[in-house]
Amino acid sequence: MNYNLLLAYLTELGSGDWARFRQAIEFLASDSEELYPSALARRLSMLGHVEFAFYDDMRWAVCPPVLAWLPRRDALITVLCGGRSQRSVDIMYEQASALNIQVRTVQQDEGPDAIFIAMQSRDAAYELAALANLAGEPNAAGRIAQCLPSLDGYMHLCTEAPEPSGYTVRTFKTDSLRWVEASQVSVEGLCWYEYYRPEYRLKVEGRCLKTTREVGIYSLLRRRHRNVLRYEPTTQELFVPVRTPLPNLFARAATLASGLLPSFQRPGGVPTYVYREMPASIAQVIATNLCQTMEAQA
Amino acid sequence: MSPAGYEEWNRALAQFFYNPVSTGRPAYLQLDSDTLRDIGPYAGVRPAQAEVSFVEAVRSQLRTEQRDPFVQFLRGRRSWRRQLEQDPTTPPPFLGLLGACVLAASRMCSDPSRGVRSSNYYVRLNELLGLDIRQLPGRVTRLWTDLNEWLERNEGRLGLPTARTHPWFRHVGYPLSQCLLRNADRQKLSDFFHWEGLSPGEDVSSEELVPRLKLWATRTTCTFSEHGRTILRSSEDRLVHQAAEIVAAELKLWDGGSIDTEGRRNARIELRIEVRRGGRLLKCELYPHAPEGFPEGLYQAEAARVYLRFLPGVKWFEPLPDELLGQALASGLVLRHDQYIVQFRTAPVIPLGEHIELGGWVSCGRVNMGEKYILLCHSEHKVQVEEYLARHAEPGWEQAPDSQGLPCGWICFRNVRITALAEELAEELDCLVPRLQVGIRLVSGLKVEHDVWLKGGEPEALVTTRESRQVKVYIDSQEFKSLPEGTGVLQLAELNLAPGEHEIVAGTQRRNFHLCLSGHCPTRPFEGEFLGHVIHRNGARFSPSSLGPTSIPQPHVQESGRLCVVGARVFGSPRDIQVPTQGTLLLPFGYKRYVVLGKRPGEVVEYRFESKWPYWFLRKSGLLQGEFEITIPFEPQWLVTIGPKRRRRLSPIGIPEPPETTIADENKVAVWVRWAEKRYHNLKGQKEPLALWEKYRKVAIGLCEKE
Repeated sequence: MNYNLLLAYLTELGSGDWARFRQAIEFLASDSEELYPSALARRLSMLGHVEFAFYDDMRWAVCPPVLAWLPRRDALITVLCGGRSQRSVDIMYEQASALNIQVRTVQQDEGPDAIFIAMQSRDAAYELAALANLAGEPNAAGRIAQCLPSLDGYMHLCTEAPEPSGYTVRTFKTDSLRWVEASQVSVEGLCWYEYYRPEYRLKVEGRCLKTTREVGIYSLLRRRHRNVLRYEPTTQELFVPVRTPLPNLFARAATLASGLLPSFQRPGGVPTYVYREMPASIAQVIATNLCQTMEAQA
Repeated sequence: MSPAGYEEWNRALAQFFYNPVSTGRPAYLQLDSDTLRDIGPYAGVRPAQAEVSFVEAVRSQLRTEQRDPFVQFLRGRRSWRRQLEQDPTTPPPFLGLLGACVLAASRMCSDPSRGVRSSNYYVRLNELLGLDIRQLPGRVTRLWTDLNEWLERNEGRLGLPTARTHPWFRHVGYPLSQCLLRNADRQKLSDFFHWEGLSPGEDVSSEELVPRLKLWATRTTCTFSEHGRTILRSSEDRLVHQAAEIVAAELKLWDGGSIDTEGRRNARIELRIEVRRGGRLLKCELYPHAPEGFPEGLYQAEAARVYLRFLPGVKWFEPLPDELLGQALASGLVLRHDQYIVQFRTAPVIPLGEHIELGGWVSCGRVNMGEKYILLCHSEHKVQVEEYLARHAEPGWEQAPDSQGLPCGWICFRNVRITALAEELAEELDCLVPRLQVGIRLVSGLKVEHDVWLKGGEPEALVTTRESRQVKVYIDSQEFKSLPEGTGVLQLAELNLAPGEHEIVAGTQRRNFHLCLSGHCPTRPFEGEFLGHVIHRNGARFSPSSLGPTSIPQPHVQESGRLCVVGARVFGSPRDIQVPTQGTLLLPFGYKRYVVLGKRPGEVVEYRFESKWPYWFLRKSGLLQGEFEITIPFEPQWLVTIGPKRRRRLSPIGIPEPPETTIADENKVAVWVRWAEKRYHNLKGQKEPLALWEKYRKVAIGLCEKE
């Protein structure tokens, strides 16, 4: 799929409903390509390009373009986030060239190209942002991490709701980190109902709470004292099992540490996303707010 | 009951046909023997005597002794027009006369086999009114126009005008338009619209509808009464044509729903299929429509009760439980709630088209030429469908290799595009015969706005001409393709068209469209809404306002304690959030002391490497390789390392920022100044860092002098 064209198209539209997004990716996908629209939406959101209101009425809106500074200490590097048209990218290249600023494009398998701009000085960064009509966000990952809500903050918003009936139900197993089809709905645990759009209920202490997948999973992991996050300080990599994805904002903070989508690995046979160039401080905030004790990657 | 006079009958007709119940709906003065029975009580007459009473009342107003027997009605018309100034709802005094004209027409229509000609009409009319005329005077015919104007003047509150004439029946056309299709049949028109694959509000000519109505009348799916079927099957083309005009007008006003004879509102349930796991799994679900006014609540099926809830943002209910699918496909499904019915009508072959609102593939009445479909087919009809597709579909269709997710006994064909029209077919395959939609339609692609597509997301052009012979297609006056049967699909992406205006011409059909480059389209991004995460700060705690992004009208407006994360940006007051000042720093082993300096006086951290082992031992054992991490409570700019023999080195951390004079920590200013006022020889030759360090020194020396 041409993800750059998709982002350009969404930028032209500005905002829309889920159907419009779906229609666009169905058009852009090749016949042999498997489509996972919600996974693609999540990736665009992690990269800070588009926001998706999944929990409400399934709308999306492209974010304003911004040069987000990576939290690296060895160099001044920004990544272009938010909506972008071919024209705006061309303008930015022109201005960068005039200021003798290096622009590097990194192709990503499952998302739009990551456009990095390496600056010699902060002044140059501000100048480029002004010329290309872009905003600047110093240490975007760090700032987002700074205001990450705690798991309790999210759970506080989960309200009691009836269980949808008549649909295929799966429950989350914290030992194997798998969703298992359930013939009988369990009294306690996290349930996923295969429905027009997936619905999740966290059943704890006799209450049935409507939640999101990620918040539900980490709440359950906390109850079962199960730690799934790993961090490798020497390589500055955060390891997150694919089946326990980070909540939206947490994933964005982790992604914007490098400006790249996490890579996929199978350490110990476990499908895992690896977030790169992750400062220990951000990894620690993510883990703490998700009530996880971060362990060193074996 | 005493015999009713003309005025009573006139009032009764107005009350019966033109009332607030008809608001916004087509109103027909459909007067025949049956409806007269129903209207009788309104005029104070027993049903059995209604027809005789009505005819007598109308006759009483005729002046047969005068040259114009209708003079009385025309006089009444003048005074009525004056009354309208005060009360626009005053019913026309000539409704009775117009009703009598319709009654005569209904008698003619009841036996179309005897032929429908004007002469036949006047025989009936003369019999009814005791007249001997060969044609109605033009002034009487114009009363129909008055009736339409009256309804328009009331802005549809008493019903929408429906009386229309016909080129072949100039005078008779009006009464025929009121009675040709009876109320019961008109209420079944939504079945025809769905069978034909028409959409609400669609503008279709009556010429196109004539053959389709005739075909429908022969099908078992035709829900018309025997009277209605007789009209449509009539050898009198003029009659069918007039009926088609009524149908075309009804289509324009159709809202997609229907009302049955008992006044219950009907809506459809559609089947939706979502292709998952690259086509290995087909998820089937039933979605009931939720037109305006349909309530949420418990709906009763034959053997189950289902609570229907609205889906947010669309006019659909949530999908029905999976267990109802099998029954629905086998024999249909009806769910009732008071005056509301939602139902699924099954068929042996069900086409499903791509659906914008629900996503995935959703059942539809009929395929469109050149568009892509999935076909759900009962296995009994597999061979028939395959034969049909082999002859009329574009190559590339196939039976879905695995039927996982499909109900037992059903199979699925995918990538189906019908590109040729078929002749006579078995009724089960009706839905596979595309409607002849003459024109050039642009579908799919990355559409930005009306007739504008993004370059790289060019649409497909579906061309249908009336000619059933070869037609050449020109794009921007260049011959592009030849369509052997005047119909086909053009992949515009293949042409690599330049941005700008383009024109497609096929036979007599013409269509323009515009391609724009990304960033040059007429839309203006970022003027719409912002979505983002709103987070409230309460001391050291950050609390989300919702589980996911929500609409934020003005994220950049600062509000104390409120932060908005939109993409990579965090909007909020600097009091609530800053560039992180606390972070970790990796320091290389191998030095005895480390000093980290920030840009503000007072931002300093001293770190001494301590070990129970002597330093020389650690170095010799290779334990001083690599890095260790320390936490710094500010944005570090410089690192001073002090090695053996007190050798000092200064290194920039990343690209340091210029110094600031604001004091960060009074208690540590002296320490900061002590390290910042020094010269470090290792910077020699490094022009930029040296220049920046000199600025730091200047600040430090300045502070020193102050003291």
